[in-house]
Amino acid sequence: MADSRATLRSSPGLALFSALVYLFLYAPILVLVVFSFNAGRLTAEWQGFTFAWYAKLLHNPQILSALRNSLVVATASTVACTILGTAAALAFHKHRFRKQAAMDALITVPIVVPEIVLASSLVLLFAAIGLRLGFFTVILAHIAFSVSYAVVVVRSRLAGFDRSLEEAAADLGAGPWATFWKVTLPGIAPGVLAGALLVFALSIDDYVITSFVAGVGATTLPIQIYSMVRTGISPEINAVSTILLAATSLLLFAAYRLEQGRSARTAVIPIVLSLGLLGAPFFLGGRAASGDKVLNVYIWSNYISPETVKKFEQRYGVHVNVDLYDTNEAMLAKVATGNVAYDILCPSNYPVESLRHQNLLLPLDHTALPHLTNIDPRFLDQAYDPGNRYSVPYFWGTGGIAYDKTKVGTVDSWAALWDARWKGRILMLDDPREAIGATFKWKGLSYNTVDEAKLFEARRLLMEQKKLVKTYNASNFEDVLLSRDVWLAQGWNGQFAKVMADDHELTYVIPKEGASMFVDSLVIPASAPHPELAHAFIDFTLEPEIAAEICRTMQYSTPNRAALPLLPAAIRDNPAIFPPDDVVGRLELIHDIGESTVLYDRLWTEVKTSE
Amino acid sequence: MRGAVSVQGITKTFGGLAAVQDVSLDVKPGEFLTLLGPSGCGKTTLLRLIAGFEEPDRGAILISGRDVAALPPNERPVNTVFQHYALFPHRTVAGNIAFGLEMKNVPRSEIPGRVEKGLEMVRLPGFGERRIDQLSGGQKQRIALARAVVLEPEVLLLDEPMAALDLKLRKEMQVEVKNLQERLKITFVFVTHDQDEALTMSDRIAVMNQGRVEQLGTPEELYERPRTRFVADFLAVKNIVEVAVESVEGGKARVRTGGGTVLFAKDDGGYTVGGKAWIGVRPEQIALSGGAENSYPAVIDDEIYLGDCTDWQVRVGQDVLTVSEQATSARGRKRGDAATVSFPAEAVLRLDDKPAPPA
Repeated sequence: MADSRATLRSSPGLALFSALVYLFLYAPILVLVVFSFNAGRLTAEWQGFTFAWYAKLLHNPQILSALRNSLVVATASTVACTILGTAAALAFHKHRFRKQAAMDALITVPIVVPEIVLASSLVLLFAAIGLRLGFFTVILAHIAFSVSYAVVVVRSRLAGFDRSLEEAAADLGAGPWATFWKVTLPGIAPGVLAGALLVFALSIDDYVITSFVAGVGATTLPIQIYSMVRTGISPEINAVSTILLAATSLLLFAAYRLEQGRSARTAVIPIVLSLGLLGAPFFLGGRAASGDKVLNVYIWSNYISPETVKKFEQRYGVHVNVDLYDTNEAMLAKVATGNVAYDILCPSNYPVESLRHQNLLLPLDHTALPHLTNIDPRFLDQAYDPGNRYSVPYFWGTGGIAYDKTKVGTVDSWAALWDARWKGRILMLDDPREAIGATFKWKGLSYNTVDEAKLFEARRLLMEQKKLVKTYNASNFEDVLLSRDVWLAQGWNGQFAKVMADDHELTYVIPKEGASMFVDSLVIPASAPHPELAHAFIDFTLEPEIAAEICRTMQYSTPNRAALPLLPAAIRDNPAIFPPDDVVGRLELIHDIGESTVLYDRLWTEVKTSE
Repeated sequence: MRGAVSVQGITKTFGGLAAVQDVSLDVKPGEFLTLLGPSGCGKTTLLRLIAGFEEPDRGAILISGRDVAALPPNERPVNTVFQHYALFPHRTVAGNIAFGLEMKNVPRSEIPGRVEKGLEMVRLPGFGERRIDQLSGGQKQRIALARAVVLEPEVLLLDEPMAALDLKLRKEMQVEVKNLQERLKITFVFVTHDQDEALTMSDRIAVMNQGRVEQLGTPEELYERPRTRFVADFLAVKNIVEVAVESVEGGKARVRTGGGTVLFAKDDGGYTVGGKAWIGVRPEQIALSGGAENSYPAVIDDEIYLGDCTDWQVRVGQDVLTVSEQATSARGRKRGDAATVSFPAEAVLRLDDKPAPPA
């Protein structure tokens, strides 16, 4: 020990290098902790100290529920993996199996298999054995991918464990069980603990596998965070992460004290604090009223407020599970397995077509939807669902340009995104349909153009534009604009509306050539276990007061005519949320273009990777 | 019978290789018996068979007259002191000594007193609260002893307990362990590869080679009358050669070495005229002066200074002998000097090439 320290001191280069390694490891975490106390929405800029995000967190039942789910899954898989992993490691250690090398390899395979492969095979397995995707499948999947890590960690500790200690215990009168508890386990405890921490960490942040195998009521924190990408990640997530970090650091500290052989008393305070932090979400935010009947809703994050859900629960005496997805594709994949029990989905317009073609949707009973008449006819009977047999519009939005009017004056055309004066101040959506589509629109063509020559021309224009573009972004483009890294940004109105509320130098425009429009609709999957309740829910959201509440709390455009008079003027008259009627006429829906999607994707990749 | 160990025709093989071959051995109650031999001779395996860590392929083991074949280690009336102590690192000194007492369900109130008694026994009173990693090698050794003896075993097994200690400490511990054994009157079965240790401590020594006991006897018997080449070699009879027997008369045998040296040996009845035999002479029984029956001119080849004595390599004709001399009598000899070596016929030991098959 003393020797190694002396060596370190005598080579300052090594010490500096070690310091850099630690900085590299911990700088991101430090930034996250610091910015969880930042008064501003932006992570890039310090705007004063606040506990506001922690306070908001306490009143966000969705994040709290996701946190609860993550903690339950992580705890369950940690307990299971630690027991299974330790037992397996001991078996490997004590017995020489035939084909030992093969067994060793088999144990480590799950570590090296790509997550996506494990995820798809688990989905198949669950379907094959008829296990509905849900909370339990998430726990099983987490155990499946973590147990190998536990085995490997415990085995490495066992390799350094002096077996003569076990013989000494037996020699002193201890039977096999007492030997395990009193000698072997304390000896390998650091390994067992390290394995448990590793499994806990793997479980807490797993996204890929969870997103595949999660079903009703199993939205974990990573899924929640990813799903917020579309509607904006809020600094509450920094607060959640900081709390998790504090809790696990305290646990580690307690483990360290115990490991040092101090009396257990010194570890009590950190353990109590840690469990207090981890247990808080189970007491805060309350659990939703439980009823015998349930409704399972699978929707984008920030698309329905907890108050609205509560009203429905109270009126119908049911419990509503709200689970979240982050892309249409993730939702489609999940529903296509036919192994989930959702009653309500909220696809965008073109995924409705795709679900319809796969016969995955239940035809709606319009007699059960008396409030359907409240929907503005302009949003009904669209090509993606003629006669609205399957879908009811829920929110709609547009893809236009937001900009700083003090810096670029007035913008009314897509041409502004090709204006050399704004070189390095332009953001384009990182989305082939929107970026290539905007180019078409500028030149008077349709968003749904599939003519190859015209597509190649669009690519040329986009490559030409590239030297002016600061960045391509489809997740937090509104923040990039808010921080003024760019002055003009292509993007969707909902996110822009959120930052424009605080920043009056920003404005949003639908270019005179026209822009894209999307409609997110509520649909009932063919496999829905509670179709009647699902109809009741859709009709509930069509009621003027409820539609107005949804619009007011979530700040997306409602297609509900009857709700408009009930909205506060600030929202109703916000042109970013409700563009004037003449503008609405210039909007175009993005359709499913079938095989041409591949060409769009290829050309877009070429644009992004060109010099 | 309490404390007696009877090993009866024990064989143990590992992967086809016999570690212990048909060994029979009786240890008397209260005896200090040492299993002595080089590494791989089977001494540790034999100890582990007695402790119950290994199961014999054949044979029986009786402890205090009871067959222990069916008993796991934790139910045998023996305790072991391990080579590397095997102290529990997560327990204090007191916790280590208390372990066996807890397992034997000794009433809680009695344990501290017995632990302290154990510590006093190994002359470490008040060490109870120390952590294991705060102890020196010698202290660990004593704690391992205390941990075993507080259980008042019928037999204490010690597996090379001093191998990891430095020489000075080893000498001290040898005395201490021997005294402890005499005080406690417990049977000790002690494993070592160190002949000095074995000679110092034991009541009897079993010299083991290739899984067998080659010779069993008191230290004096072994030292003065090693029976086989192997035992003689292991007990530092350095001058061992094969000779041709030329004649046997008047209680003396006249033999000739391969190098042509002729010498007389006391006849023990084992020499056959015209036959071959192995003989050995202890270096310390050869004098660098004339006078004894076998006396030869010699040339000093080499000197190995050992502090309390000096080993001289001397050449007698074609033969090379090792002669050991007390340091006080080493008188300024150097390489190449001429000298005379001599030893009596009684110093010539006749050795069997192979051990006699067990009776």
